[in-house]
Amino acid sequence: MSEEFEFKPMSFPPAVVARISPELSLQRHLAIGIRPNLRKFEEFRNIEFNDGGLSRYGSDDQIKNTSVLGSSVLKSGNTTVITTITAGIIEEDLPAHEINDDAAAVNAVFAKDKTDDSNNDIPKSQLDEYESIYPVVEVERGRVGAPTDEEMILSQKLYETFLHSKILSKDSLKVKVGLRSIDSQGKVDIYYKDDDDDSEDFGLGPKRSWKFVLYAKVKVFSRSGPLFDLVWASVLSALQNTKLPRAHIDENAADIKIPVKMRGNHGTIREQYQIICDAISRDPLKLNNEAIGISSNFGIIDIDEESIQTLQNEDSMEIDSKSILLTDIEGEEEEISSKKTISIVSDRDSKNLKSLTIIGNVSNDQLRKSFELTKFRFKHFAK
Amino acid sequence: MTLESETTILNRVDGSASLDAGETKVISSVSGPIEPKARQELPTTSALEVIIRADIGVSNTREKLLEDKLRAILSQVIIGHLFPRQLIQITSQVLESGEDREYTSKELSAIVNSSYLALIDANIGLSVSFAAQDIAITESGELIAGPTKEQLRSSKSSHVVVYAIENGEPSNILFSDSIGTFTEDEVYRVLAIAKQHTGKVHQKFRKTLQEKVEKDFVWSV
Repeated sequence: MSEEFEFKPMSFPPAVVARISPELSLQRHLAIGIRPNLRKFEEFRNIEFNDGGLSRYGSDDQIKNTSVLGSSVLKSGNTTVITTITAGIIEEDLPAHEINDDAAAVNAVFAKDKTDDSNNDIPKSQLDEYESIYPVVEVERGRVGAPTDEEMILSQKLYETFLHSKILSKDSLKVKVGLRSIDSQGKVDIYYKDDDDDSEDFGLGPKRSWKFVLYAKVKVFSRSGPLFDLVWASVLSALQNTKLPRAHIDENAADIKIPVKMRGNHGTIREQYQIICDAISRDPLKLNNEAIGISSNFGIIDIDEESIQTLQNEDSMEIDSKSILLTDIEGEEEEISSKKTISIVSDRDSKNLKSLTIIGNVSNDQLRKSFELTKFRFKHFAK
Repeated sequence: MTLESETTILNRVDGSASLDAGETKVISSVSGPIEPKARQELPTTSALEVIIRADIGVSNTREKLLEDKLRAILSQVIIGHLFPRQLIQITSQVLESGEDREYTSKELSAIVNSSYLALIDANIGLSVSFAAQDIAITESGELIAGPTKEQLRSSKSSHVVVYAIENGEPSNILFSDSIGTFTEDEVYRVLAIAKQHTGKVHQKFRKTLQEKVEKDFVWSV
């Protein structure tokens, strides 16, 4: 007497298969013409964003008690990205001959060999006129600790792409310092020099200049795929509503020189300027709008023979080529299986590209197709 | 453009190579297959640890981004299933970057090329040979392969392209990274020019590798 065994094939719900064998799951999905996230192959996720009302200067005239100067809340699929922009003021390093009028005379006595450093032959860098922002990206994963590689890479990529895109000129970050003065009746007035005002400086003695540095804090919730596109869109939209406060110096402190005694008899003079940011008046941050564009990513998946064969009998969608271009990678299956990827950052009119990263054996046709899709997407994005 | 390379220059690692590409100088070393930390271990393939050290100061996020790019290239060419549950560690030390901090193209191409030689020196199985070339586009739209520091400074975009080399000829693209302002047509031109130049780079590496083989084998043929 023999017992009868019956073998039942093990089966898992789709979510489990996606976890234990992401590539298989993706192949089976693509073979029947859909993506695991139910989007079409060339369909982008919708991106919605608003300013989130986090900024000090909201749309109404009320000033909030916060140091956030610009903000953005972006939603795309399940992912939320919150960006806040803050700023600091630093004094710029200027060559001696610009700070002190008598620098040339001093050099003539103490540094006879020194040539005038204002006209040396070092070619100017294209990037000299532009600044970047200092971004910190945090991807929330329910734990704290040192930044992960992904966060560091995202931050650095943001920094480099922003700088090389030439979006923010040095000029737009210059602090146009005003002067606060009290007249004989004890009335306090703050004077700001307007752009079209050609009058002399306020007589602040030695020429000094200050500039803003911008910090972007980016928080990502519910990560579901490569993040650069979303983070890029979020930071740019936050910068577009960023306003920089006006800053002024107190008249009394404008030209104070404090003698400082250092070791023995050498006396030096330290000048002191206290820059105070105006609580109310502000100027919008000027950006080079032509350079602001969108970022898109693509993954290319090669369909394996087996996937096509197993579904040949069924009435499946015709798949004309052996590899499929997927736009806007989402979900673990697509991210793990995309061995070939294209990432494109374009400018406003998609005429020029700002950044392009290709990984893997991508053909020129696939590249051309992804450029087309970027342009197509941009037309819709502009609306 | 000068390109000088030498292998087996360090004796406490499994493979090493130095590369002198004019203004940019890099040393790369490979240790592996070695025992990984528990969290690095992968059941079916080898783990890859990529470390890039800056020429000045400690490594920061700039080097982290370079590491990410190098890893994207190497994970395509190293035959991982030859060394399951093991670790391959690649360290690149930049000796002279030859470019401003804002740019990374010259360093990246030197790092990729020296890693190739170091991996071969360490006898790590590669599915295909590869070579990198850095290119800059000037304001007038001229393409310069292997730009100098000054040319890079006045360029409007910089590019690094890595091609796979099969039977001594560049076959398909492995990696390409571009930054700056450039058009779609310029991308295709960059890829085409890079294909020619990576072929030349590889020819130089063949000489280096021939010298290495002659040195390594104690008997003469």
